[in-house]
Parts: sequence; structure tokens; C-alpha cells
Amino acid sequence: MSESILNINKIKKTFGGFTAVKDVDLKVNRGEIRFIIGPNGAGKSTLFKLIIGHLKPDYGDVIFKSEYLNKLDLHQRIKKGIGLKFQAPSIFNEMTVLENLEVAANETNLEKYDDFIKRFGFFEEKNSLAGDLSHGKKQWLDIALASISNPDLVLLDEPTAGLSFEETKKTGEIIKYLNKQGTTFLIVEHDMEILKQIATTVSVLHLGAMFVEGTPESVLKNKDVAKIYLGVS
Amino acid sequence: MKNLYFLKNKLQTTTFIILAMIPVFVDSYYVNNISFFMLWTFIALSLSLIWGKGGILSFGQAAFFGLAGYSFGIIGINFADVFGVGVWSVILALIITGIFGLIVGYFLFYGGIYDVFVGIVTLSITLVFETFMSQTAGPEWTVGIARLNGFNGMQGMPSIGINLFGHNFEALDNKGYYVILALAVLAIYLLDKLANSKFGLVLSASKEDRLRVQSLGYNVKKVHMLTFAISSVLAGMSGILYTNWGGFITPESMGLVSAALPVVYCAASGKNNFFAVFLGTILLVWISQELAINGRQFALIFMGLLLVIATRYFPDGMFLFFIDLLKKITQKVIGN
Repeated sequence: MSESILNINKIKKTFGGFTAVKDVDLKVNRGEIRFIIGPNGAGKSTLFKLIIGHLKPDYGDVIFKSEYLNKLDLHQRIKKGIGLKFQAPSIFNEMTVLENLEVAANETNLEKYDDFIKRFGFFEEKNSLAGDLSHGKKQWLDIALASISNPDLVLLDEPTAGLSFEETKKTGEIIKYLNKQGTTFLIVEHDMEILKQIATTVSVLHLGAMFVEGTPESVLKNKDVAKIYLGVS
Repeated sequence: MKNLYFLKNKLQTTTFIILAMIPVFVDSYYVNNISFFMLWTFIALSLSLIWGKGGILSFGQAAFFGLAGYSFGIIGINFADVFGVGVWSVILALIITGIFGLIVGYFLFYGGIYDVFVGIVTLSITLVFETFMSQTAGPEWTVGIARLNGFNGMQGMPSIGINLFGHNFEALDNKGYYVILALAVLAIYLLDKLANSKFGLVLSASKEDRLRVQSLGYNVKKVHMLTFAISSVLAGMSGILYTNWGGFITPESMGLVSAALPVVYCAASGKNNFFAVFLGTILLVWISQELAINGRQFALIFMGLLLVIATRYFPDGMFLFFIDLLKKITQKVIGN
């Protein structure tokens, strides 16, 4: 039986009278590439913010490596071994690519920098300002920032937003490579191509509740998922 | 980039050597004046650290300036007969100022006060200090035997110095000049080291995106609190040197003008570059003093105008602006 790395227990979040996340349970096992999908307003981003502590839940627990995270601030949760990438690329535009990596790395491991620079294709731009990178490379740099300190779990919010088909494919390859190095991924995503390419498990949210979970094949074949997610009747 | 760094170091070294040679060739009146210009560089450097590198605009540097100046005076007057008081009073005054900076920083950043609100709160602290010290004219306002003396200011403190084997070393006149210069060189060296360290990188990154820095596992509030405390110590250094230079400290040193001037020095010189701030402050204090001969308000109007012009036309500072301008003119001349 696989060891679970992240457990979300009956978590709920309301905004006024609106329930954004309704008693959601989620268990992510070590080594997984878990995708969370769902139509707009399904509660994906709210769930993401609840996990990282950006929002406080009405009730429910976030347990990471058997430790309750509820009372911890964002930076304290990250210190436990979590990497994080927000929806929009949030890199440090006025710093070079190398300086960005230096800020994110928890050690001065130059070999690790070199590996990341080569893997993500930043070799020629390592001394360029991050703000001058293309949108695709900004997304990759953001993923690199989230994963350079060898976290056990990396949370990615729409890592392929605004990327071309080729760039999306390369993003998938990078995530798969990092996963093979031992990093577990929890990804909120809309793009079905990257899901088919790398997902090991998919969770579908609908109206703030967990709708269905399973392998990519089973979820994509599920007619109810097609109905709510793709609008197919 | 490496070449530019070398050039900058070369320029820095040359400037410091020239400054070190000034007392050899120049009359002591001018040496004393340049000492006065240089002592203001510490408060400007303190703002360069917290604002230029950390993106946090503070008007509280004048409060730290005054607190350190008064602390230095009070300790010096009360313990004048104690061995080495001229050195210990400096160290204790800096510790007091640093602790106060740490406390203010804690309440600011852990209280979630950021952006323009930091400016408002720190300006309020400065003005409260000034108002309080201005009403301490009565004889009841003493700390030990040191009279605060209200608006007229505190006087009679021993100078920075030490008595060794019967020889008195006092940081006044030429000696004072070298003490200030040495401290400035040390401050710029340490600030450059700090800015290029991991702490400095995180501080610079937090200027762009605080949430992202937090999401990389850093306690941004702590980084800002510590930076604020370091900057308060630097501003305090100016206060101590000012008090030592003139032999007095007044509440005016914590007024609105005193709070605003370091902002002009930093903005006009290039707030992100410690050496530029050092040079720019010397230049601007000198200009300000020259203008003040024709009327104090005239100097202030000039400083206000300079701030507006700097913000609009040379946000990276006057030195970079003139270097760029020179490059353009050279290229044009060569091109023709």
C-alpha cells in the first residue's frame, strides 16, 4: 500500500452564504502526479489556497507527512517540504535567472543549479533578467523555483496556462523527470493534453465537492465527468 | 557585469583614497565641513538599505538619528568619569537604537503594516519624538545629571574617544574626519556584503513579490524586521556622529525636514546603490549648505524640486543619469 503524503480531511470553506469547498476529502500518495480538474467555479483554486494556508478553512484538516498544518503560516508549511507555484508566473523580474534560483534554493548547490538550468533550457539566459524571458520560460522558471529545493510535494496551479502545444509537452516532460527524482505533484489544471501525458491519478471537483477520483483513463471515460466538465449531454 | 563591478570597486577605492588625502592638503575648516557632509551619509545609507533594497519607505530614520544622539549624550554626561565612556556611549546608544528599531519593526511588519502605511506610521513616530523632546525644557526633565533642555537641545556630552596611557584620543577635527571616513568605508563594505548575501537576495526579491518569497519558505516579516533594525542602527550612527561633531543635539533633528531630507538624498543619488548614495549625500549636503547661506527655505525648495525631478527624470539616480547622458553625447559626437 502506498504511503500517503497529503491528507485533506473534510475541509470546508464558505464566503458569506456561498460554499466554495464542501467537505472535501483528498489523499495524495507519495510518488503520484495528481491532477485536480473541474469546471470554472468548482473550487479548485480555493482548495489550493486552503492547502497552502492562504485561506483559513471553516473546518477540516490539512495533514502533510502526518503533521497537521492548519495553524501554520504559508512559509512554515513550505519549510515542511512543499514547493509551490501560483497560477500567474510569479518570478522576480528584476533579478537574473540565476539569482531567482539562488533565492529559491535552500542550499548553495551549484551542480543542482546547473542541472536545473540545463533541464529547463535556461543556459543562454541564466544571466539575463527573468523579466526578459518568454512567457513559457517564465512558467518553467516558476516551476524551477518551486522544485529546486527538493520538496517532497510540489503544488502547481495551472502550470501550462498560456503555453503552446510544444511548450506544454516540454512542461510535462520536466514534471515527469522531477517526479522520477522523487517529487510528488499536485496539479490544478485545465489542459487535458498534459493530463493525458503525465497524470497518474485525477480528482474531479464539482460545485465545491469531490465528484469523482480515479486513473486518467477512467475519469476521462466517465460520462458524468464529461457532462459536468465538458458540457456534453 | 564582472567588469562593471571591477570598475565600481576601482572608483570606490579611488574616491576613498582621495577623501583620505583631503586633510593633508586642505585647511581644517574645510575638513570639518566635509566631516559634517559625510556624517549624513549613514542615515542616507540606512534608507538605501530599507527602501532601496527592501522597497520599504521609512520616515522613521530621523527618529533613530535623534534617539541615538540623545542616548549618546545622556550616557556620556552621566558616566563621564568612567574609563572609555567615549566608546561605550557609542556602543550603548547604538544598542538602544537597534532594540527600538527591532521593536518598531516587529509591530510594523508582524502587524501587517506595509506600503504607504509604513511611511505614515514611521513619520508619526518621528514627529512624536520631536514634540516630546521639545517640551523637555524644564529642570525636571533630566536623566541622571543630563538635562534634556527642550527646544534648545542637549549639550556638554564628552566626545567619542578614549584615554590610553595618559593620551587622549578624541574623534574631533582631523581625527574625527578619519573616524567618520573609516566608519563610512566599513558601512559600505558591510552593506555590499549584506546585499550580495542570501539575506540580501531574499530582501531584494521581497521588494518585487512578498507572497512569492513567503511561498519559497522565507519568513518575510522577520527579514523586514531585521533589516529595519539594521537600518535603525545605521541612522543612529549619523545621530551619534552629528552630536559628537557639534557637541549638541536638538529636537529639530527629528523634525519633518530631517525626516524628509534622507529621502531626497537617496532618491536623487540612486537609492539602490550604496556608493552612489554615499557620494550623492556628500554632494547634496554641501549644495544644501551653500544654498542655506542665502536662506534656509531656499535650500529646502531646492531639495523638494530635486526630489520631484529625480522621481520623474532619473529614478535610478543622478549619477547613472549623467553617465547615460555622457554616453549618448559621446556616441553622437563619434557618430557625426
